[in-house]
Amino acid sequence: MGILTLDNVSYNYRNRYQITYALKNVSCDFETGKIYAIIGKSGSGKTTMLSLLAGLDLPTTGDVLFNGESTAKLNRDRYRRDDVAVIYQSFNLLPLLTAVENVMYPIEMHGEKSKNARKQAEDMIESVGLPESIRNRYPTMMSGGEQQRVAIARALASNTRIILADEPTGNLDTENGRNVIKILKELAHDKKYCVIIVTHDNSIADESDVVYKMSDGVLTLEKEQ
Amino acid sequence: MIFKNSIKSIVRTPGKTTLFSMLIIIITAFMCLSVGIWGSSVQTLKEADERYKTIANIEYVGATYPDEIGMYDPNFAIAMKDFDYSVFENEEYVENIDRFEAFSGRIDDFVPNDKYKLDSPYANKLVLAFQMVTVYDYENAVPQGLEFCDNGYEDYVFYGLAKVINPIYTYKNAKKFDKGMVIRVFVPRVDIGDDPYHLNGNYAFTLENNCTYIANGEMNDTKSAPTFFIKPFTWGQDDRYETFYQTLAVSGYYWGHDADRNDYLPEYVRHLDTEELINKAHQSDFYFNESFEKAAKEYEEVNNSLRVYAVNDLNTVSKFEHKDYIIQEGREFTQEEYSSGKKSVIINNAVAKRLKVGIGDKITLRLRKGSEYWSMMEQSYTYGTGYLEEAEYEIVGIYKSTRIEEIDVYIPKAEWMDDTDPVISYNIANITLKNGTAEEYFAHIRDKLPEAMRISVYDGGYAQLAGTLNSMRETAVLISAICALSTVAILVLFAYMFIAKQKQSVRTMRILGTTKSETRRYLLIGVLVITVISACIGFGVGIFTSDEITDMVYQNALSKGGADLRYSDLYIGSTVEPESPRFETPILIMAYVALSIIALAIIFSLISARKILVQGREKRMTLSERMTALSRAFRQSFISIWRNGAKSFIVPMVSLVLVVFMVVFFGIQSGYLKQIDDIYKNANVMIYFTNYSGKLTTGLSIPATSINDIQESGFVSATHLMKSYKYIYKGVYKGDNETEFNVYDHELNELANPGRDEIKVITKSLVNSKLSDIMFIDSLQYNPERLNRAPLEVTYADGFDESMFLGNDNICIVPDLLMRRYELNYGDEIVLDSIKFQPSWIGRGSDIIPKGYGEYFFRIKIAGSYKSESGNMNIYAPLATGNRLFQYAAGWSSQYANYNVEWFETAEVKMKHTDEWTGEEFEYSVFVPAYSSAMFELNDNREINKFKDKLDELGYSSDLRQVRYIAINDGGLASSVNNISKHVDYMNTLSPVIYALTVIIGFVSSYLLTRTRKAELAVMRSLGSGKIKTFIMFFFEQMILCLIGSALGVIIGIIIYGTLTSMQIIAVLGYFVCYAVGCMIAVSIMNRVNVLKILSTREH
Repeated sequence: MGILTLDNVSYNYRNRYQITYALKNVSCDFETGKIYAIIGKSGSGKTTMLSLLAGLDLPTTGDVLFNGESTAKLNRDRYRRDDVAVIYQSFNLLPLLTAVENVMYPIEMHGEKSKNARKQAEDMIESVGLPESIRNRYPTMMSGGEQQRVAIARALASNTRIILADEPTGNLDTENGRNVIKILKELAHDKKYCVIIVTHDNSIADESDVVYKMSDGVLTLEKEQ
Repeated sequence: MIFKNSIKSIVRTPGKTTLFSMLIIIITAFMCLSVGIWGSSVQTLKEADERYKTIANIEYVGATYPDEIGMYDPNFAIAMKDFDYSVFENEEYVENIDRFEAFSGRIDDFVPNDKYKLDSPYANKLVLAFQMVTVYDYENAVPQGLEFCDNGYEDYVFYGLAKVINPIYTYKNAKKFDKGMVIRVFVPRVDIGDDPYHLNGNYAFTLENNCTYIANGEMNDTKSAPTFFIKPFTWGQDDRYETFYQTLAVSGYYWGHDADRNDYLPEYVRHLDTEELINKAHQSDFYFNESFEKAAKEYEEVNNSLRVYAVNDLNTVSKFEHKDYIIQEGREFTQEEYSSGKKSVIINNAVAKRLKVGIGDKITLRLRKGSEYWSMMEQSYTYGTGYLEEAEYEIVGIYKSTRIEEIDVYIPKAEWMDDTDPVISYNIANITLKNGTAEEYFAHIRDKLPEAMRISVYDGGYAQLAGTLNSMRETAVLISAICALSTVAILVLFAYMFIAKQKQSVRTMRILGTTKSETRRYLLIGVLVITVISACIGFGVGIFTSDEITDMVYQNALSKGGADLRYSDLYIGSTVEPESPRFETPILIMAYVALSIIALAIIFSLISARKILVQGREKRMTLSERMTALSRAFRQSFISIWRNGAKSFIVPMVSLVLVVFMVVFFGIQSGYLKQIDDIYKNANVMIYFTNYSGKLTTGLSIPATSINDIQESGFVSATHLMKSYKYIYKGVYKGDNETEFNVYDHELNELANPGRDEIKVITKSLVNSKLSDIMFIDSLQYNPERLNRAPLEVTYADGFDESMFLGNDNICIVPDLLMRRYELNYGDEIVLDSIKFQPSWIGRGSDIIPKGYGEYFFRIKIAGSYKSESGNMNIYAPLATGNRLFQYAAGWSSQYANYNVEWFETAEVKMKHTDEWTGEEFEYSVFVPAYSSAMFELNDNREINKFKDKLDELGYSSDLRQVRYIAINDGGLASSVNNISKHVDYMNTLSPVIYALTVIIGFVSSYLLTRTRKAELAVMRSLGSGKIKTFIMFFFEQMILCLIGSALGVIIGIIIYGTLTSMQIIAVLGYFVCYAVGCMIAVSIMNRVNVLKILSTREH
């Protein structure tokens, strides 16, 4: 069993017009040291699956297991704080905090003092290839690529083993996108993270170790290295 | 970390933070101030209610009114016989009923100086013992004393010079009549003959040189030589001159006669002084007329009298109430002193100074009793039964006079005083009313009072103050309500902007693993910091400015709030400016307000935080589900209205509520305006001249120029004047200038010829009490004498009606009593003798009538009669008739050239009259001296306050101590109108606020609702819909919703209110327009946002 497991997970939600079955009996395993890609069309259920993996929601049926333990039984705030980091297409940086403060946020949440947290954050920012000048900028003053790298730095600062990325290159140009994937690959292969990327971009799938295809809520294995 | 990040979140949004901080400071300050003012005004009103007293003074306006201690008034006695005082009682309004007794009295050893001496007919009286030293030889000497011939002493002749042996009594302790002084002596003479200045012989009696006499008389010290007129105690009735002078000694022998008037010469007494002579006279059979001693004693007592009032509550005495008298040392009477009638006394500081006494000292006070017939103060000493009481009183208080120069004495009323027959006072009762109930009380008892009983109220300015404070309170309540609503709105918006708008950050924080409580803390810390700091500043601003703002609101309310009671007849003499109250800043209340605002901000923030923290996965609304008819803007509006579900109800609900409110609001306002119109239309406002107490409406002396003042003010539409004269009925005219005297002409004779042992002085008061009036008026309906009384029940002879008073024929209506008494018929021509007083000064005092002056006989025909009540014997005749008749009478006024000229002012008074048949308007003028009364009608009751301003400008005042008084019988018009006007004022103040709020609500609701569909709008634009189409779509959608809500609101408003006036229609249309304006602005702003920017932002 991997670090994260989906065990026959189904998920549906209701809006005014209909019931949508986002996931249908999905089962799969995710291990550390690998980079996973989940590809599919828009509306296929990819983001839903990521949300379940991130502990943002609970499946309608089935279980999401982290280290064999169901997320339904875990404190999901703690889970998101200590065990999993999420990177979004729209970056989701805290708009009123600077780049370094954004990265400091999860560090301080773990009880680190400000001074140490700042040092660590600065190192993180540097590790993702951002210059020193970026540190005190607000998100609105950064480019998309810079914001996404700050988001990655923040994810790394969480000190978790799992990184979930929802269309991480969606708002980036080709070069920045490649850089981000490169970082994620390094994290997976070199630092033994479990990196799960949700994307519709087949080129990212080509870079991944395992590729799942999501179609109408059904997950099928496409490639495994 | 959470705290730090929270602080960062507010510091790094300076614009929003500053804006809301300012807003919270402002609303906190306003709320603190308005609630503070509310609290202050309520508290101050409560204190005022305890501090002020409202005293209703009931007086009988009798024949000698306003003389407080007047003659015996038979009409008064009839009115008061069996009068039931319980008519004044009323639990709802009355706190206490007080009746005090008035006496005249003397304080032992106290002789008031000239300033304080009461009016007395014994002014200038003398009782002297003198010795003749020179008798003039009139054959050869130059006549002297001619200067007195025209001044009331025509019947006197200069006799000679005398030396004062003993000034037994001299008024004012005149030095010129001291012992040893040489004086000129005048004696009365008889048989004046044709030549009034003939000085030879015919003296009433002779005085011999070297003879000593004792005599009663008067002094005249206008000339350098003191002059003594020997005068009888009575006038011309008893020709036995030994009644007022007596020979004491002749050439060294004392002269006397026994009781049988036989003269004898007992002993030589060359060097004896008067006292020894008198003692000698007492020791033998010598008849000594003790009247001199009695007279001297009476003059002494009467001329040095003081008014003594026995009271149950000093504070109900108007002079203390009006602060004319203020306790300077000591205290008022205690309850124990009142209930036990203890011998305590409060005196004037001038008396205390003269007597050299102080608190705790004792003085001897003698109280005199009147008799039924001779109750006048001046005469009560001799012809009553002497003193009622002579006792020692302890001084417990000393007062000073602030304005009125009188030295009254006050004692607690004792039980025994109820059984006496004291000097009569027209003061019936002083009633302490519950503050603010004077008008209701007046309405309650007005019809129960006898005809001549009048009421005036003094409240020290309470009504004015209470009205102002109530106005303040209502303003404060209104502002508090508006502030409270604004506070809620601002705090909701504050919560939205600082909490709800951080939804994205909250989501991110939650994703990053921040717990809900940490996230909640993050959100609330910022809110709390802003709110606490701002509220504290607002509270501080409120405290700091409270005094000035409260005073400003008070002054504003003073100018607008409170009924304009100037000249109101009920409050005549009492519309004083109240003391400016001291407002205490209610710090505690204001602190509670500030804390409440903080609490409210936290509550709203918590609600908002809860909403965003519990939000589950957001619904994913695809654009395609909503976009079905892009090119059809209107269809899309309906679809969007339908599919928006609950959100679509917001605008109609808001519109419905607002429109219902406006329909009702403006409906009430137009209702109030109509009420005010009706009040003005139906009010019967009469303006009239009066005296200082506001109770006298006739018997005044109003110069024609004063009447012209009012007529020419531009506010009056009609003037009603009256002249009145005292009359004596003489009989029926039989033609050929013969009058059939079918009754003895006893009235004036009775006045002029009192009984032998009585000292009687003919005064104006006496005549007033005995004689009735002939009143020359132009309208029975507008007769000032009948103000607030039922009209006369008149029966006219054939061919006559009320229009007779507009003519100038010699016709009149008489009381049925007169008709019966003298067996008169309609058509009889009666002869009346009118009495006119020798004027000394206007309005007060007693005048002596020398017989033969001021009489004018005229004939007048009876054209009707009226039912006489309470012995009313007044006759009514046309004003023009009086003007005509008494113009001829003016001739005898010339001899009074030296007297008060005002009485003879003959300014032209223009009168207007419209012939009711032809409609012709004509003017006529009257030239007569002062009028007894004058009454006016207003052109337009709505201008009453402007008219009052004009009166102020002309120098009139309803303040107690002004000379000319005007009262307005407005029947509570001012209060009624004011009560409603205040509401109208508030509504007028609110109206623009309401419209402004409507614009804001329209804008805000449109903006917020359209904003949520920003993406929708962006896609429509990106698909090719132009700005105008998208504008129409959203604008139309909003206006449909507003229209639906407004229509429902109008229907509900009509159901509630009943009618739809033009004001309401305008208001609703105004609301619709304002909402449309707000909506247009909101949608226009939305329409200008960058489409790409919207489309490139995705929300999860």
